Amino acid sequence: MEKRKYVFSLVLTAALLSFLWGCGGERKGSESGQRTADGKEKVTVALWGDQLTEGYGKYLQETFPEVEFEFYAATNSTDFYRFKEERGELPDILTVRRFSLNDVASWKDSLMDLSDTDLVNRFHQSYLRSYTYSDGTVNWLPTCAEIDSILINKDLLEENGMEIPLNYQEFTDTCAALKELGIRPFLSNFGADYTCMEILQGLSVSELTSQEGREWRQQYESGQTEELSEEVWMPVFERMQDFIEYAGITEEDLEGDTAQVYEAYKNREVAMIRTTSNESVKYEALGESVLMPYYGEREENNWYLTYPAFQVAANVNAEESPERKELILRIMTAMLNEDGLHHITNGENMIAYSKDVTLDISPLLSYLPACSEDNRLYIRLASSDMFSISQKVVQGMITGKYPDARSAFEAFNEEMKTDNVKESAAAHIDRDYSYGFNPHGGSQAASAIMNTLREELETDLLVGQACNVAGNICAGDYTETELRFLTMGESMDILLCHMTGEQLYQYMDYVLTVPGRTGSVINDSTLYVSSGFEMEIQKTDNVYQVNKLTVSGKEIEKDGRYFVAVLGNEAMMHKEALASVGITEYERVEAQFKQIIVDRLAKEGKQLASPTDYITLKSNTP
Amino acid sequence: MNCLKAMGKKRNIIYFFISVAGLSLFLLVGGIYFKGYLDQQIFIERATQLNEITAQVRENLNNALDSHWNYLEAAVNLLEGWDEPGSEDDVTDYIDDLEEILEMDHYNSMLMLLDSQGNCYDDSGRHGVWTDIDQISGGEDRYAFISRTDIYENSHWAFVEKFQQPLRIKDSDISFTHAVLLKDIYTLTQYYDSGAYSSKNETYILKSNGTRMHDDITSNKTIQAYNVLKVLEDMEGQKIPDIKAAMEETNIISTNFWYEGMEYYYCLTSLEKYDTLLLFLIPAEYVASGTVDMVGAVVRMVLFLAAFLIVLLILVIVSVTRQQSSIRLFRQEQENLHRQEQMNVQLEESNAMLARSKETAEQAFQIAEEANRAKSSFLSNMSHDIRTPMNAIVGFATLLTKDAEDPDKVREYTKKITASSQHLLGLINDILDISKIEAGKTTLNLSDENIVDLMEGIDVIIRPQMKAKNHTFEVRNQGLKHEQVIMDKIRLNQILLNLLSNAVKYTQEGGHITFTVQELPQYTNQLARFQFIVSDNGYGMSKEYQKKIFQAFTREEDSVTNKIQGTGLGMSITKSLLDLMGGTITVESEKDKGSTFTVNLDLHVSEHEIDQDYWRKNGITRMLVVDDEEVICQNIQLTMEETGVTVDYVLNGKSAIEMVKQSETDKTPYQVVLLDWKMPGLSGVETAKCIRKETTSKVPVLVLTSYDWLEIEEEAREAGVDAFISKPFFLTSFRQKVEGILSRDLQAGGSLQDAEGDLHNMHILAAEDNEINAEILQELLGMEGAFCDICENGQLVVEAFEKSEPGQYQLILMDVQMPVMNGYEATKAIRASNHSMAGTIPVIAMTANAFADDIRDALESGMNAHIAKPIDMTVLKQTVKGVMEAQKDKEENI
Repeated sequence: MEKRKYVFSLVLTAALLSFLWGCGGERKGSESGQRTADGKEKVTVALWGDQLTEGYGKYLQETFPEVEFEFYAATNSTDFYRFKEERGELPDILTVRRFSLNDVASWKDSLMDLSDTDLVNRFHQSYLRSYTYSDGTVNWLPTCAEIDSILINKDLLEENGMEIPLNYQEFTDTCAALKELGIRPFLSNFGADYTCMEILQGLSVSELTSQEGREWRQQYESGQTEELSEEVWMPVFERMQDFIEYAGITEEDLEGDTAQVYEAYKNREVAMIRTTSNESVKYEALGESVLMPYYGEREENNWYLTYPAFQVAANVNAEESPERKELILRIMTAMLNEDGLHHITNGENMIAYSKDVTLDISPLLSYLPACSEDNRLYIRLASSDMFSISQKVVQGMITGKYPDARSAFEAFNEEMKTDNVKESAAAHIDRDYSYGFNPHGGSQAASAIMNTLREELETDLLVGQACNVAGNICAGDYTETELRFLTMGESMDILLCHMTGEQLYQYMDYVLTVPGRTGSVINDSTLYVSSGFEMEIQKTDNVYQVNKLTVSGKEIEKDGRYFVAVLGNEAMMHKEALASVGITEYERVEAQFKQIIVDRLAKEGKQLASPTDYITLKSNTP
Repeated sequence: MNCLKAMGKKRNIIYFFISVAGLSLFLLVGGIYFKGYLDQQIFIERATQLNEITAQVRENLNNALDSHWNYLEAAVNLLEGWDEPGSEDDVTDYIDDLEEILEMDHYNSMLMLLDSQGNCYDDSGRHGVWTDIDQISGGEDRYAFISRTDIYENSHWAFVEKFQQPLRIKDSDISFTHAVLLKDIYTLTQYYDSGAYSSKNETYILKSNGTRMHDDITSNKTIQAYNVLKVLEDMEGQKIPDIKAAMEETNIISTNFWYEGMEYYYCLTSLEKYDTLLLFLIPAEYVASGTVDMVGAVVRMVLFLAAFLIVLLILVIVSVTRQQSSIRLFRQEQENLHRQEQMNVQLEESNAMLARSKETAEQAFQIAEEANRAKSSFLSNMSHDIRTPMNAIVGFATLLTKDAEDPDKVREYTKKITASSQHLLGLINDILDISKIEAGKTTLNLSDENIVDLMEGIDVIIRPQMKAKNHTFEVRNQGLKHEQVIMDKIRLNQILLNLLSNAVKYTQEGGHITFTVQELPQYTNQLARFQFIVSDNGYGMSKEYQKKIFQAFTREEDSVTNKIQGTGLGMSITKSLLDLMGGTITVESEKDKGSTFTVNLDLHVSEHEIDQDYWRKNGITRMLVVDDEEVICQNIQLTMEETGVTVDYVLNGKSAIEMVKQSETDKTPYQVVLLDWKMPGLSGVETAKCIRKETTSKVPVLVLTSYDWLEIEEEAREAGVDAFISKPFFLTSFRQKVEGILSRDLQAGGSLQDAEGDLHNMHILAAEDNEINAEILQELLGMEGAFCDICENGQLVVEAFEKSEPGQYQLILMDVQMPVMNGYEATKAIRASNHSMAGTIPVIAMTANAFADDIRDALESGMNAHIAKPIDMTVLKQTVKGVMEAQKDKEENI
């Protein structure tokens, strides 16, 4: 009898454990290693920016038809992945642009070690060194190098009898001359942390690449120092201070965004801006421009500032099955090979880190080969701290908070030495929401977020793309920073308008079928989420069409009028989408999508709205 | 009872099976254990060997790397002592100078300077920022690593040293912070490619974290990955799961793993100073292969023994359990086996026979082909060689008709026709002879003969030819001990005459020819080993021709020898005959120096050896030899050795006289004195004269000479010379002469007349059925002053002889092929007749049947000699002379 009891209790314990494991495991399973109903292997890919979806994501989906990719747009920060890792929610494949090896060292074992795979053999060792831990592990691999520098309107200078400056002195002289002519010499979006950081480092690139600069950087990156070297950095702040003055940077510039910078350049109000080689393509139509390097004292000391377009890593869970690992490695290979790189850059204006890959360079980068051959490509110092502290200090210098270089230098050092205060929980989410797409209902997580947003905006209906929600939402405590990781970043626009049921039909048809835009639908995971109404969508050979829209089960009244919120990129998609259904007047909400969600959970102390079964996907695909 | 027996039997079988199973199990388990033990020992041996070799390689590489710091240090010292450079060009030039001073080219090294921005400068100028700049930014003064930049083609070991004070370019913000020595990595290969593994080892240079130090992953290496240690750790059969942890405990580890079904060994060691790991990877087959082979052989032997034991046991079981029935079966099987073996043997024999038949058929086919070719070649040569003299004969005969009135031309043409005819005759004789030899129809006619007779016969024939060309002809005898041997005298005669007549022909006038016969040491008592050497100082032969001299129809194409008539068959016949006799012939010759032909021939010693007791019986115990050439004296001494005669010799006539006198005084007189004719001081004849004059001795005195003694014979005999003998000294000749002297039948006159060989006044009976030939013969003999009666057939000749008075005819010339009675029969009838000269009258065959066999038949029928038609008067005279001399000797002996 005793024995029987003992066996029974063991069985019961095992059953309980498996149940508990099953609860967590179900959610986990949705992130990795699961098959869809039609037998496709499911792979979750977090994309660092929504602009990757329509080109890069589509390329992957087409390359691997046997795979159902679950894309979502991640926050561009390794902290986002640390947050995901802590909750066991890492996607199968991770991408991130802002990267420092130190920032990800603490959770490196959750990632696949690629050092023994053929993937790493694609890279030059000089690049690979930056990604190799002291124990030989390689988790992250770079795609291709983005070039970040000064775009100069050559036409404008020449019209005013000036030539392209070739060294720092000529640059300052040009700025002074332009000012006298009433043309802004230089403009950038100083509100963004990366702009502050890159201009601070770029202007003093020759200091930072000197022997002392290199030695300090190695000490900093290896954790041997937490403060700036005066010898290296004081001249950096002095130059920044000078620059703010001679380039006429003002507090107003902190408010501007990239769209405004583009407009000013287009309108020839400004002669020089900071931009990237990838972005600069859109400036080519505006007249002859040249992307010049950051200037040193002599032309031989000019350097381009570069950084990888993004890094790629894989969840270590893939190693649980050789087949799964092989699949993930094949996908990563496709992401990093020449085809993949061409889908990041449209094949232009980037520098490949891989061997045997050549990317085209447009005339805009005519100065690049000289620097590239001399290896004068400065890789930005891009730890998370550098971004945030540079933003604070540079903005402080612009606003006058730090009136001179010394105070800025000291402030920077102070910030660096300040220990990160552990943030306390700002909210608690009571339940889990799965991100996985279900043809009969859609994504719970996406639905919860969209319904929450609709409630906050108080509109009748809301339309937003599922992939703007960053994966599964787990029950538990969240700090305010962590709440920001639940959704896509800052570039989301919220547009409010009124439309009829008919217009809604047309609008949905448009957004489901328009290709090549930021917000185009490329697979199930990128489908739109409806809040306040339901959709019946027909999928035929990967083409989605609206069958029926209903409100509470009843087909929407085509001549009924609805107050609708649209979440998405206005410039790259929705302005035109609305116009296509005859809506040109709409309101752009000032508050950010991310912030609305954070405020709801943290400040209002509310829970996310309940998810609804917003979609029925009918598929003709066998 | 039967039941109990059956149970007992069954139990025994079970026990037996259990024993066998137990033993097999023991062998199996033991084998597995043994195999495991051996594998472990092999592993230890291999690992130990790897460790030793790798430790040595590490030491070598460490030393090699360390030495580069000295170079760099020297360069840095020189740079730091340098005045401030004025420009970038100055820097470039100075780097160039430094490389030259430090002979860096020789060591495949380069020098590079880095400015504060990381730009590199070498002897060709500035090259932009060094791709490895991040590797030297850790604040250390020195770095060493493998560098791969686009500036240079290969990877290099980079040795970097920071200057204490940066070197500045004058009036410039450029300052240099580091000096770099670059060493081509492939020139260091010698330090880590181990010959111990036939360079089958792969070498990986790794950082301490296990990643590759350079990009050399395109080469065909087993491990292509970046992190080599991680791949190693994941290999099948890898015994060390955490290699880096293991390396912290020891700085060298060796073990094995399996990859794609193949066993590999690797050895990992650390170059601590360079933060580097050195990994050697070798397929197991190249590691301690000798030991492994040996162990493998032992294992195979053990397995074989185990298998053998098991088989043996099974056989025992089979034999026990099957007993009677198996014996029967066994026998049956044995029988079957035996039958099968027999059949196999028969089959094998049949196969062998078939193979032999096939081989024989092939050989026959080849021979037939060869014969066909030979026949074609023969006919072709014949056609040419016969037509040539025939052309002359016909041509000159035509001219003879035309110029019949001019006696000078008639003589000239006749002479030429005669010469051509002689040549044609010789050719026909040779052709017929060789064709017979080749047809295998030639047999040896062996008889008991005296070799001295042979030599003398040859001498008689060849000496006139020598004289005609003014050659000096020397016959030598060296150590001839066996004169009476079994041989085919006619064939040997033919061989030697051929060689000698060639020597006469192919030696320019006044040449020197020697004919040496010597006896070599015997191997057995029955066989005497003769060597005949014909040597001349004539035209000689080329090396090429010497190779084919014994082939038929070959003559050396030479401006001199082309004028000499020859058939080109003589040497081929000679060789063929010697082959038949089991002899050999060799030739040594040099152009314009002469030729030497050497014939080696073993001949059976005759049972009728010369009676060596002759000398004692006749009271001859001492003889004196006088010759100015001591060698000749010694040779005679040697020849006489076994006769029991003591031979004294002196070298001049005066001493000879003294010796004879002394011998008389001592009462030990010489029984024979042999004098050389021509000596310095007193000649042989003068010495003989003195002996006769100054002593009372009646001792026989003989003169030994190589000259024709006829001219002095009368004087000599008056001086007291009893007889002449020709050089060389032959025992038989000597004995014959001594016999003659002793019998006191010295008939000087008759002898001289015979010796002349003259046909003058000779009455000859001849048999010749052909009218023209009969007429020619009569005319020719008439020309020589002889009288000739000719009969038309053998019967008539016999009748004519029988009717003749004794002494009416001195000679019979006998044709062979005749109607009614042929020459052989006629001769036999003559010899058998009652005529008083039936046994003595010389009969000479005179026939167109010119083969040696014909000669033999002639002699067997009772004839004395043989001459071939057409009749050559010189030959006839010589033959008659020879026959007459022989006849005379015979009569003397009787």
